[in-house]
Amino acid sequence: MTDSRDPAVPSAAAPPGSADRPGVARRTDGARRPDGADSPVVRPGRSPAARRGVVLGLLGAAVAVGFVLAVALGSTVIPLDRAIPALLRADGADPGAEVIIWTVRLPRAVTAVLAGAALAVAGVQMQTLFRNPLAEPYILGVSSGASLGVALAVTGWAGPAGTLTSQIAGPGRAGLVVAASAGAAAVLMLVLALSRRVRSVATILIIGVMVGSATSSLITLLLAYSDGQRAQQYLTWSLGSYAGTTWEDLAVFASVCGAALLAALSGVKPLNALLLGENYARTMGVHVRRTRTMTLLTASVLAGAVTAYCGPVAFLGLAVPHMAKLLLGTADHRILMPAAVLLGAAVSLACCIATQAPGSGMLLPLNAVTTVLGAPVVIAVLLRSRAARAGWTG
Amino acid sequence: MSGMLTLQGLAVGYPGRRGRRARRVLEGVNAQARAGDLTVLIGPNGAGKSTLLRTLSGLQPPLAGEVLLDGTSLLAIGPAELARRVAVVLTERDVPALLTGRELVALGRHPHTGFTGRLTAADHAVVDWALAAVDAVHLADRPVTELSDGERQRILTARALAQEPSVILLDEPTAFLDAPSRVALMGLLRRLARERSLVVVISTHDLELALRIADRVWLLTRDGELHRGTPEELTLNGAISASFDSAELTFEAASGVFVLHGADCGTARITAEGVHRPLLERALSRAGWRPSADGPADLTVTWTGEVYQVTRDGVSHRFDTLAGLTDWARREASR
Repeated sequence: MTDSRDPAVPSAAAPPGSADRPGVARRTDGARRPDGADSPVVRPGRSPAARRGVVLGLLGAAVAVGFVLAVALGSTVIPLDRAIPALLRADGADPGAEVIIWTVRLPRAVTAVLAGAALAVAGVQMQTLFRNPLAEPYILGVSSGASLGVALAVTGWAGPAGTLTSQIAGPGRAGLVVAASAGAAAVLMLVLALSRRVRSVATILIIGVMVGSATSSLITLLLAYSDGQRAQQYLTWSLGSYAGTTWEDLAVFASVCGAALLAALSGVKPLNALLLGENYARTMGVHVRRTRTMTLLTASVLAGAVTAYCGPVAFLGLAVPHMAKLLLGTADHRILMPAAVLLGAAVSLACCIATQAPGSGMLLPLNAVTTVLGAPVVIAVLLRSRAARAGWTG
Repeated sequence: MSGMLTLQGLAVGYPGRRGRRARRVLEGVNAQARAGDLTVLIGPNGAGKSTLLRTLSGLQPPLAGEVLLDGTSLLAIGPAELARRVAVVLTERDVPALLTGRELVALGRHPHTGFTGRLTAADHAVVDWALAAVDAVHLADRPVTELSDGERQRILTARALAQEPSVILLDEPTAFLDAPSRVALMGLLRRLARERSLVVVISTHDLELALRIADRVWLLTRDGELHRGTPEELTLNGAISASFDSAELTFEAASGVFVLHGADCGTARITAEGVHRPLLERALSRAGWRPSADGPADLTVTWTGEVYQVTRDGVSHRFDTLAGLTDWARREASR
C-alpha cells in the first residue's frame, strides 16, 4: 500500500492537460465508468480481475484436494475417514495408517508440491527472460549437470561420494543428492560465468544448450563403460521420483525452494518490464544485467534443487507456465507467478497420485506420467486457445 | 517548467572492444531540442539516426561530449530518475501475447510504482489519461497482438506517455503505417509537445511529412554533419536538396515534395479551372511534358468543363477522360 512515487512528480495525480481539455476529461471518465454511454466498446474493467481471483481460488482448492488425495491414495488404499484422522494425528487414529502417512505419503506429497511449484516458477522466469516459449528451467543445462554428477557417483568416479557407498549397490540416496547438487552447481557457475561476457540473452540460451549437450554426451560416455547394474541405477534416478525424501531431506529442500521462490516472487516487477524486451526495460529504469543474473540464479537453484532430490523431473517446467498463462489470460507476472506456484503444485500432485496407479499395486516412473499424461493436455489447451492460435511468441 | 535537451560536442557510435577500433558514427554534434517543439530527425539510411536516439535515451553512452537534460548530464542522472524524465518508443514492434492495451500502457508506470509494481488509483488515472491522449481508449481491453500497426503504435506511444516524462524520443514511429495514420500520429505528437510542454524528438524517413509538420528539423547528412533549423530555413539554404537530391529526384522547395525526373520531351500549356489545373499538370509531367505558364508550348491542353481539348503540331484531339488524355500523351512522348 505504500505510495513510493517520487514526490518530485506531483502532476501524476492530475495529469496536466486533461483538466483544461473537456474532451479528454470526459473520455477518461468514460474509461473509468465503463458502462458509460460514450464508451460502449470498453468492457467492465473489474471482470477480468474478478475472474482471475476465482481462478486463483480454484487453483488453491485444487492443491488442497490434490494434497489430501495424494495422502489417501497409494499402494495401500486408506479411505479418507481413516486417512484424515491419521494425517491430523487425532486420538484414536489407525496407527498403521499413521505410520504410512507420516513416513511415506506426507513427505512425498510435500515433495511433489515443492517440486511442482519450483519448476513452474522457474519455467515462467526462463520463458520471460529469454522471450522464448520453448525455454524451461533445464534449458541452461542445470539438470544435465546434476545428471553428470549422479552418473559420476554411480559409476564410481566421483571420489568420496562414490567410493564411500558404492561398493556393490552404488551410492546411497544421500550420495546421489550430494552428487546431483554438486553437478548442478558446477554447470550453473559455468553458465553464469560465461553469461557475464555475453550481451545478448539469445547467446546465453545457445551457450546453455551447448553446455547441456556436452554434459549429456559425457554421461553417455560414462555409462557406456560401466556395468549394467550401475547404468540401471542411473536410469532409475533419471526417471524421476517424489518418493524416498525424508523429513531431514525436506528440511533442506523446503528451505532452499522457499528462499528461491521468495526471491522469484519478489522479482516480478522487473520481469514485467522485460516483457517488452531488454531495451524498453532499460529505459524504464531496470538494471537489466542484475535482473538477468538474479533470474538465472533463482531459476537454476530451483531447478537444481528439484533435480537433486527428485531427479530430472520432465515437462512440468515447460508446460505449467503455458497452462497458467492461458488459464489466467495474462502475461502480468504479479498474477502469473502466484498462479504458477499453485498450478505447478496441483499438476505435480496429480502426477504424484498417478505414479502410484492407485489400486493396481504398480509404481509408474514419474517422468513417464508427467510427459505421457501432460503432453496431450497441453496440446489440447493450446489448440483451444485463441491466443495460441493467433501467434504464440511469449 | 523544465524542458531542454542539449547535445554538446556529442560523438556517438560503438566503443572499441578487444583490440577493435571504436566506430564513431557521428562527431561534434551540437543541438538543442526545446520543450513544446516537435523536433524531427531526418537523414538517409545509415546516417546514424537510431544511434543518436539510443544515445539520447541513455541506452548507450556517448563516445565524447555530453547530453544535457535541463543542464544535467544524462550520465549523472540515475537510471530510475532518468526513466521518470525520458521515455522512448523504439523500433522494436514485438509485443507480448496475452497483454491488453491497458496492461501494456500500465508497464510505463514502472519507474513510478513501488517494489511490487502495484498500481495506485493515481497510477490508473495516468494510464487512463495516456490512453485518452492518443485516442486509444477503445483499444484498452483488446489484446495488443490483435491490433493493427497504427493502433499498436498508439498504444506504445501511450506507454511512453504513462511514464510521465519531460522528454519523449521516438525512433521511426511512422514506419509501417499507412499515410493517414502517419499524419495522425505526427499531428498527435506535435499536439502533445505543445499541450504538455514536452521535448519530443522523432526520427523518420518520411521527409515530406517531416518538413510539413516539424517545428525544428535536425538533418543528418551522409558525411556525419547535423544541420538544424526550421524546415523552411533548411529548404532555403539548400541543405535538404544537398542531402537528398539525386539524378532521378529533386526536392521542390515551393511544393515541399520530391519530384521524379522523367523524360522531358516538351512543354505543355494548360488552361483549366480549380483543382483540374494541378491534376492536369501532375498527369502530364508524369507522362513527360513539362507544364509552362505561358508563351509558346509544344502542347496546349484545355479543360472545357466537359472534355479535354489538345493541340499538338496544329492537330486537335478530344478526350473524354483524363486517363485517355494521359495514355495519348505518353504515346506522343515516346514517339
